Parts: sequence; C-alpha cells; structure tokens
Amino acid sequence: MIERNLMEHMTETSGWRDLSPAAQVFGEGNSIFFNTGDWRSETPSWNRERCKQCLLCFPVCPDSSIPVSGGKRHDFDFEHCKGCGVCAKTCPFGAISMFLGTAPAGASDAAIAGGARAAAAANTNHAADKTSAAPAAARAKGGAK
Amino acid sequence: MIEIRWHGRGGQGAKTAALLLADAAFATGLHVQGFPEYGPERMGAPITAYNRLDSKPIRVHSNIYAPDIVVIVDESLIGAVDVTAGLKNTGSIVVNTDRPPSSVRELFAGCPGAIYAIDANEISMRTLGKNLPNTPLLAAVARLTGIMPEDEFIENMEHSFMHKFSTKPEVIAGNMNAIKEAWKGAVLI
Amino acid sequence: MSRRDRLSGNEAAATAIRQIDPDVIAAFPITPSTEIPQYISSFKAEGLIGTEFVTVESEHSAMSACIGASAAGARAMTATSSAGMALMYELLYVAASDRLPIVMAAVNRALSGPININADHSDSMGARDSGWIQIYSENAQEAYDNMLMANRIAEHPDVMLPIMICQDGFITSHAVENITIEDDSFVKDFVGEYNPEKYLLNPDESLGVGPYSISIFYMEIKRQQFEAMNNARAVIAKVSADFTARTGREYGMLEQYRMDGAELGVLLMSSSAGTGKEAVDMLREKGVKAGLVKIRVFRPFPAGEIAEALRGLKALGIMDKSDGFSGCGGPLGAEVRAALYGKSDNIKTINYVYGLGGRDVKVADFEEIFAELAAMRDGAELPDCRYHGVRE
Repeated sequence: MIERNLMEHMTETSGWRDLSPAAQVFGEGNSIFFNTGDWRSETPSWNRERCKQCLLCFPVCPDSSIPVSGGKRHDFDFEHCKGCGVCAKTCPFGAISMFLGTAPAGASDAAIAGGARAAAAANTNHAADKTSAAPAAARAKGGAK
Repeated sequence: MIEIRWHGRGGQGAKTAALLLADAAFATGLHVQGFPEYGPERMGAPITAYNRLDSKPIRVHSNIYAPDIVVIVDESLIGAVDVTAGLKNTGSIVVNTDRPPSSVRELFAGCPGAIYAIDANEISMRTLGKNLPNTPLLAAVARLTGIMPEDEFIENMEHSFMHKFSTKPEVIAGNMNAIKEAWKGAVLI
Repeated sequence: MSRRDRLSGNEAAATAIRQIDPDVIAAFPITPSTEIPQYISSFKAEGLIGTEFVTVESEHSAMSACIGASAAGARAMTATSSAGMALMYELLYVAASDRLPIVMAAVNRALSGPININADHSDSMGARDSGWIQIYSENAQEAYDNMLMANRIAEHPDVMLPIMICQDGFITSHAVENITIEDDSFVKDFVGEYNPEKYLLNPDESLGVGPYSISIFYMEIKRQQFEAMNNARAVIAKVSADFTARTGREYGMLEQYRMDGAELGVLLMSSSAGTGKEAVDMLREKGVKAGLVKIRVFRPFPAGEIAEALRGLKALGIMDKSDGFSGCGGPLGAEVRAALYGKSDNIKTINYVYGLGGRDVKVADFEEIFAELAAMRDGAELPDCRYHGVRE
C-alpha cells in the first residue's frame, strides 16, 4: 500500500495543465484515499456471535471493505463501505444485516473514524434532502431490521 | 528518359523481368523505376509492367502511355490487347514469336519503328527446360536499350540471379545460358 | 556514409524499421502493406533485429498489442492498409488519447466498396480525427526518410502522440526506385533511444494507463491532446531541420514547387505530386504560371503555412484522393478552404476528387486541371467540387 496519494493535487478544479497526461494514475492502490463511505445510505451490521467465519462475504464486497487477516474477517471498513448490501445477501447465517442510515450500529461517535464521521454527517443531510420520511437522524438510529 | 512497357500474362514473369531490368540499369548509375500493373495477381490474365530509365531523378508516378519500347512476352496478346497503344513513332517493339522474320511485321500494322523478334519460348525450353520467356526477353531488351555492354550485363545478371535464386541455385546456370543465347538471338525485322 | 540503392516503398519502410530496430512490432498482413511485416519476419528470422514480432490475429489486435507494448515502455510499431486500418479505428483513438508514441507504416489503399486493393487516401483520411500525427510521402525516399523521423517526433516529451507515415499503395509501395539509404549507425544515432518518463514496467514507480474519465476530467484530457498536437509543429520542424542538416534532404510541413509568381496552383499529397511537378515544368516552359504545393504533414494541419504558400495565386485546384462524401468535396478541400478563409479570399478554388481506387493519374490529367484553372481565373464559372478522371 502506498503511503501518499500521488494524485492528491489533481482535483475536480484542476486546470488541464495540472492533470496527469492522458489521465494516467500515479501510484498503486490509491483508491484507499478515496473515501466512498460517504456514499452510504444503508449500513451493514456484523453480528460476531452468528458469524461462522466462513468468509463468503469478503470476496463479494465490491469495495474491499471487509478486512481479512489471520484467516478471519473483521468489522467493516466504514470509510469505504458504500452500503450496497451484497454481503448481507450472501451471508448464509444471517450474521450481516442492513439498516437505514449512515452510522455503524452501536458505534459511538468516538468509535467512528474521523473521515467516516464527517461523511456520515454529510450523508445525513443528503438523505434528508431526498426523502420526506422520518428525520434522518431517527432513521440512522433505527437499528437492525 | 526511356519508357518501356511489358505486356505479358500473369505468371510469365513480366514483372520480374521489369524489376531485373531496373536492377541492371541501376547498376550502370541510371535512375530507374520498375513496377507492375497494380492489381490482384491472376494467372493468365493480361498484365503490364513498366520501366523508366533516366539520367535524372524520375518523378512521374503514372503508368506509361507513350512508350519507347514495347515488349510482348506472349504473342497471343496481340489483338487481345492494344499492345502498341501510344508507342512512339521512333519506338521499338520486342516480340516473343516463332514466326519467320518475314511475317512478323504484319502483326504490327502502322508501327514504323524497329521490330525485334526472338523465340524466347524456344530458348527458354532449351536452356531452362520450361517455358519462362521473361529471361530471354530481358536480355533482348537490355541489348536494345544499350544500357550496358554484353559482358557487364551477363555479370550483372549472374549477381541478380544468385540473389534471387539463393534458395534454388540449380536454376542459375539455365538462366545464365538463356541470357547469353538471347543477347545474340533477337532478330531485327 | 549513405549508399545508393533501389528499393520499393515497402522495402524502404521495412529497411527503416530494421535500422530503428523497435522493441515490439505487432502487425497483421493486408495488401498492399503485407510486404512490410513479411520483411520484418525475415529480418527477425535472420537475427537482424531484436524486435519482438507479434503475429496477431487481426488489426484490432495489432493496435491493441502496440498500445499494451507502448504503455509498458516499449518502442512499438505496426504497418497496415485500408480495411486493416479501419479495423484499428477504435484503438487509434485509444493510442492517441493515451499518448502512446506508436509508429505506423501506413500504405494507403481504398476502402470498400466496391472492394479494391489500389491506392487512395480514404483509409487514413477516415482516421484523420483520431489524434494521430499524419505524414504523407511522395516516393520511396520520402517514405524511408519520414519513417526515420517518426520516432523522434512522436516520442518527444512535448508531443507523445502516435504517428502514421503514409505512402500510396502499389504506386510507391510496389515500385522499385532509386533511393539513398543511410548507414545503420547513422539511424541509430539519429533516432536515439526511447526513454519514456513514465511506463508500466517501471519497477520503481507504479502507473495506471487508460483510466475511465468522467465528464469533469475528460475535456481537460482532450485539451492536453490539442496542446500536444500543436506542439508537434515545432517538433516536426526541429527534427526535420536536423535531418536536413545531416542528410541534405529537405523536409518541411509542406513543399512548394515553382510557386514563385505562380497564378495557377494545385495542392495535393503523396505520389501524384511528382507527376504534378512534371506537368508544372512542362507548363512553365509554355509560359503558363503554374505551381504546386504538396502537403507533407496533414496532422497537425499546417493552416498558416498553406495560406502563406498559396498567397498570390489566382486559381487553385485542391486535389483530394478520397471523397469525404460531405456532398461538397473531400477533406483537403474543406480544410484548405478553411485555412484560406479571411486570409486569401480572392483565390478562386475548385476541389477535385481524383485518383480513387488506383485510378491512374497522368501528366495529362494535370494539364487538363491547369487548363480548367486558367479558365476559372479568366472568369469561367466552375462547380466548387468535381470528380476528375471519371467517365461521364
């Protein structure tokens, strides 16, 4: 994994001279610097008791947001999880459930990584814009389905 | 500039003859062009090939419409194709024929220039064992153009054949005999 | 020391490629360019080149392989014609927009139909907006020389664009002519090594080439391409000047032939230019103020040089060896008229579509065209565009 985002200085406001030639991407694995967690409107919740560590979930995650080490999965990478729910559909043991909202279930604000917290706040506003149903904050606390 | 138009049938080697003539002329220091009629190769179809030889660089990139020399590789083309079209009044004809010299000129009514007849088929059969009239005709044309003396031409051709037939050297001697015979074999009608 | 030789246009292009000895060649045979990969495979078999020769199954794959090789950091080349180039079209854009300096020996041939294997420019003219640099050659010598200059133009850091060196199918590709061939060592020195700044096989620096680009970035990337194509002008001038200094053979964006004091002019590209020069000489001897402009570099389009070269003409025939089927003439006609607009509006122009599908172009054709131009100068009304050399 690279330590520094070599594309950092190239943004949506960069002029043509400041973009890499032919939009070449410098440095490998730099999608880590692109926090897609703030795209989330539903959030997965992992039930450790029900999980058999069968590892069927992590390969189907389109955003590599289920970290695996030592032959075991760990809790979601909420900085990058877009809340697509594919993992929940795949899990044969009902160990993953989806709930409306952006904040990870049971996570205190302090437990949420800084980026994800900011993203969660932003997304709450987006969600509120898009729906006239119950207030976003209430939905976010709605718990597992 | 000397402009030469070769008339043959696909497979008879008119293009090869034109390229070999270009080679020989090039060796004397001339500017040359050698090119076939551009198109798909079809065995037996009437084809043309061309040479331009000049002491100056050659810029024209068209076919030849007013040749100085017309070479007829296959007598059966006469009448089927207007082989003498545009031939200059001072222009010459080299024809591969086994007709007696007295009846050759009547093939080319209205052509006032020199006509050279050569039985290239016969020379080819005798020296190469098959009918490839292009090599004997090449010698006749080379002599007619005066691009180089006989011994130089023969040496030059040997060099070309050694290159061209590097994978089948057994045909070189036959081709060289064809060249030598044909140099002397053309009859001015 | 250069040496005097006699080669066909295809042999000339293949000789240049042998001397350049590129890292990768991927090509698929198609008439009339087939001989080029054929010669290259012989060179490879004889150990004359170290090139990786990829015998792909189509031109689409040929260009894809070149793109992959070039992105990896290799000097990549190909050769093609006609339908083969058409099959590459999608990838031509990829090569250009990915800024990969691939060199193509293009042997111009008509596109179907009717199916035809002879020369015209409809293949490369169809690729004129693909972002490739396009250089057209009059004869075997120019095909050879332009190939020697191609890499340095394409690979220049200010450019980094693919380049096609065009010559007319059969007319030059299969005609043996006198040519001056440079020493292998000269070519090695002139062309130099290719050392791209960024490339995929660099173990010290990872790179992604050819990403998806959403609307907020796409236009900026095209703007870069525009800049690169414009930069190519100065680079072509510089490389050509160096080539001239070292060989004595002169090359510019275009060539003017007897344009001093010319009133009637033709503008064209490739092999027919030589035939046209012969006609200009004959007409000049008769007192006709005839001249000729040959476009060498079509992309980038030398609009300024063209307007300058044509200034002073009273009547101009713009000769297109392809019909763009705009219904009002060929691509040269449109672009040359645009170049003249507001600069030399007093020149009367007619756009000839000529020489399609190998239709022979003779000195007499130019005499007819110059006679028409003279009539136009003297007030005759002629159509904006017409076919020349077609049976009515």
